[in-house]
Amino acid sequence: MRVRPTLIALALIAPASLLLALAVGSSDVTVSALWSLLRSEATPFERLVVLDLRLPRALAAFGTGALLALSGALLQVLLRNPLADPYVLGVSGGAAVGALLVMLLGLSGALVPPAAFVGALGSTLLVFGLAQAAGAWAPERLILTGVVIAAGWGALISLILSLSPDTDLPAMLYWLMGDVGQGATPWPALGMTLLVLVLALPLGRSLNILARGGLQAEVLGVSVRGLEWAVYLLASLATAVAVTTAGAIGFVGLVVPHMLRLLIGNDQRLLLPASALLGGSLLTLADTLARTVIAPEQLPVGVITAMLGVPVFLYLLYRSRA
Amino acid sequence: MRLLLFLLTLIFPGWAMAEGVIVLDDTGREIRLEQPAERVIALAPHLTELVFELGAEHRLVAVGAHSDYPAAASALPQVGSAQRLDIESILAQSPDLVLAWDSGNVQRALRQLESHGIPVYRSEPRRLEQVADNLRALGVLLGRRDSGQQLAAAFEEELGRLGRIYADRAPVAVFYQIWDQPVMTVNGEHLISEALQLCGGRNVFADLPRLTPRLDAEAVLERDPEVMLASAEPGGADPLARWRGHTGLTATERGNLLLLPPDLLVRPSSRVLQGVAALCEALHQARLRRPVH
Amino acid sequence: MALLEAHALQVAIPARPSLMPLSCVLEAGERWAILGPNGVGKTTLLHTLAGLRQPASGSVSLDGEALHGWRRRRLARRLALLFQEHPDPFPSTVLETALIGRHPYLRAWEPESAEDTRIARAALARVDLAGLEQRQIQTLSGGERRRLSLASVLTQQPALYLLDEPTNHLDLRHQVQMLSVLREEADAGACICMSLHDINIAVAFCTHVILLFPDGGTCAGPTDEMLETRVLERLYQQPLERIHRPGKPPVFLPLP
Repeated sequence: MRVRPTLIALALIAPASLLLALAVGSSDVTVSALWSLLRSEATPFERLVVLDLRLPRALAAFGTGALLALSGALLQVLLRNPLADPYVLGVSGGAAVGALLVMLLGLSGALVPPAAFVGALGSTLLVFGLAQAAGAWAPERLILTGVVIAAGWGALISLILSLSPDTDLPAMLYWLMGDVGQGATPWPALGMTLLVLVLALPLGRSLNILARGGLQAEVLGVSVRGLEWAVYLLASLATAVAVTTAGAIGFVGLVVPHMLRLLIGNDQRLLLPASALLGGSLLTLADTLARTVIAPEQLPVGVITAMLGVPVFLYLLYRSRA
Repeated sequence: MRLLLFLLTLIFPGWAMAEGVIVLDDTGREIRLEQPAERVIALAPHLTELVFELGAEHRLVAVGAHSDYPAAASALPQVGSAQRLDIESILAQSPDLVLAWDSGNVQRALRQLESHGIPVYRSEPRRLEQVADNLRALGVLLGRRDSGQQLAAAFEEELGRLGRIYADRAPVAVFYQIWDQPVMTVNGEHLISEALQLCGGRNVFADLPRLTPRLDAEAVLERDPEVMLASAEPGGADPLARWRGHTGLTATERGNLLLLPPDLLVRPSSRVLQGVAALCEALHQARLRRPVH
Repeated sequence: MALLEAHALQVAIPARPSLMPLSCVLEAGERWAILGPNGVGKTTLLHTLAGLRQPASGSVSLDGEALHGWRRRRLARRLALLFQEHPDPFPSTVLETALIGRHPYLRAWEPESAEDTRIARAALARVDLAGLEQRQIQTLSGGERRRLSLASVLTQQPALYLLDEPTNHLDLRHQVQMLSVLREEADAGACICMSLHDINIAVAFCTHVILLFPDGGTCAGPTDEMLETRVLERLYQQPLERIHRPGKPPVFLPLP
């Protein structure tokens, strides 16, 4: 356990990642522009690039990353499974079907986020309803239901892709790969991050105990059913808002809580805020890379998070076995 | 022998061999028919257009998806979209010639057709003048050699005329947006970039390595194009909407965010010249909006 | 007033016929054993007594109040349950695990106080885990993990200890140590009720037993009245030899 150094590092990395996102890009607006901006001496172009383009995008990336990491951490507790990720219950599939349907029907692009949100929540309720209708609420049943529903969404996504005219495919594929640069507004993601933290932190100790098993938690005085409902709802909302902001970005929600748990343990009162900070920083950095690696061209940020996430995760897995 | 054949077809496109016809397609493959094709399938919209232009539409038994021009083309049976051809319904039409789009159709499907003994003509116009080559070659294959020659000559003449009028005018820096979410443009290899050049425009992203690169918004702003162009259906969503809010850009301040009619520039048929003409006119208007010193 | 009272209690065991109704009264200071063959429903009975499962029929009351009327948090300050297994999917330290017993005493935002930590450390010392506070639970042996679970239960400071095979995984020394800790708790006024596989522990340690027979029969009563060779042979369907030890409880050995 290296709690204190980890928390100090996180407190530094978060603002640093945001500053870096403001300071680099495909144009030659750099750190010096930030400096002149602070002294109100920036050129209109510098203001435009830093304040209108990079700032909202960096904040959207930060909020999305924070939400994904929070949702991952919460679902891992809910399912008592450290390998759960925000999409395990089919939320991203539902969101993708909603978003892609709007694109297929040729409706206004402004309808894509609401449709994604409706799809995400619809999937959440469907999985929840099915797991509930089957009787006992057991993590295994929830996971299996989620996996099957997600597979169903996957088939629908393939169907939509094959019915779509070729001209619509680039937008659909980029949406599926996850992409912060879709002119997304950062406020829903940032607001939801705060809301999740404010609601989940008082539940922190109960969550710690829930992580040790549902019956164990009940015997220790946790009202498990209500808590599981709350966690399920919060995690689903968080994922829905994240997916709506930036598409289905993988690995952040899986790797971040897992990595932090190895560093600072599983006390949700530390883990949840730390996950939000690290998830936010990680996605902000990944998005900055996506904008700059082959600038002026862009990569989908989901590609970067996966390329960072796969080796890190394999390393953690390997290390924990050794 | 192959080389000789190749040289001969360069000099005499559609050089007749005995009673048969023979042409080279855009990929350098030779297409040899014993007689002009009677049952033809066109797998891409621009190929359908070319067949209609040549007056050989009565030989067209089926078309690929999105073949919506001229209107009569929509009435023909469809055999699947560019990426997902329905081999079965293609074979069911028992065509004696298939016209394919080399980079747009799936090669495996085309090879499958060839393995059933169906000749496949692969069209891949990367330069405007190749539209004329396509007209000549298809004219030969469809038994419309003379209209092919005439249409090709007319095309080349109009192309030359536009070039003479516009190519040497004051250069205009242009950003041509082919997709808005994500923002995508074309590089210097693309037909659209050549059309820009012909009109005295300069594609600000001509130097990028990929044919249709996806862009970071600030790269567009940094290159500060004088004109931003996109094609859009009349009354449809405005693909340039995101740029209209940015003040301090040359294009927005001069009102040079312009929309062109859809499809014309991306379909390499004779109609592409209408698209080029509209493009040249748009750039001309942009020159007129330049401040007078 | 009785601490825990089961009245005509029938537990619902999945995919098996229910046991016959059981009635018993558990008082402070008593030490109870639940004996019976594998799969007869000892764990299910413990979970039912802890309010984790609804009885098929009959009722359970604690402090004279029906169990289903208790709020879980209040109940957790009166009653603790030591589970047979602890899956531990996540990392945690020994001290953190001992501290979970304080949960029912703390409000949502309230962090564990120095007093809570003191109670947890004392519990760890009683189960011979002092000094391992910062160890990861994944690095503990099976016996150490078992003692840690008992420490969590001790930290909970309940009036009623329900323990599911508490001596599992323990070596002889630690079995004796655990039983003496439980005896101290009973002497201090708590009631112990545990499922056991070892008849001889029940004979030596418990004041009362509940017997769950393979045919669904149940009975409860003081140890010295209940544990006759004939009854135990019926309970386990196994011939036994009773070895008499003057001045000490008898020992039962299985006959080959």
